Amino acid sequence: MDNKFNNKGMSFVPKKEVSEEAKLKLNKLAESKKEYLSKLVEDYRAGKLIHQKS
Amino acid sequence: MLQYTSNEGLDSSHFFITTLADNICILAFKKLEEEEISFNNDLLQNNVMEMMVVKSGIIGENFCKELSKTIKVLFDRVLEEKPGLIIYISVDEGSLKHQLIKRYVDNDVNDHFNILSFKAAGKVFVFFLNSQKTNVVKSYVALVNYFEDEYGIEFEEEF
Repeated sequence: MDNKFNNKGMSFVPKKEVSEEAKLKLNKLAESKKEYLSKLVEDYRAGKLIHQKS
Repeated sequence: MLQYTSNEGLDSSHFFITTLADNICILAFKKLEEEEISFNNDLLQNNVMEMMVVKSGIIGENFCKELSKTIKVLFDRVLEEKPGLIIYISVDEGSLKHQLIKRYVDNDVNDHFNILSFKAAGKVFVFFLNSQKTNVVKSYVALVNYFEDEYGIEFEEEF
């Protein structure tokens, strides 16, 4: 269970070393997510995200 | 279960959870637009929603037990209700969020939930599917093709 999810899921790893270009693209993806999260918090604090129901 | 309010829509949903310490945690589900991630596949482009969790005003990744439970309840509800939905989460490998995901999976009792997890470059890309509402094999093939076409990464099962 340490290296693999339980039997309802499957975990995959690259067959070969990941290229530098791919690493850069994956990092860029992570950066854009961080930017989105920051904006989400900003919008929340600014009252732009409306609570509809509880 | 902690108290929360929500703002739910077709392309995005937000849950604002109030923690026991009276802080707000935002749980967001957001459809991925082509300019963000182009899957080049209708099944993925139409059905993948990214799940994100962020705490407003607090630094750190730790989650108290009640918050973890509340997030799981909301996650289950979303994956149960939306036909065809694939929930996508990306985290750093070995991070607290990664450990939390593994704990959720290990303790999950929804036998119809499936998980496909791809590890690369210190990151983990996890896709959650409801096998009663989503074709797992088609989704798996589409994801493998996406990673190969977009990043040149061929995956094999981790043993």
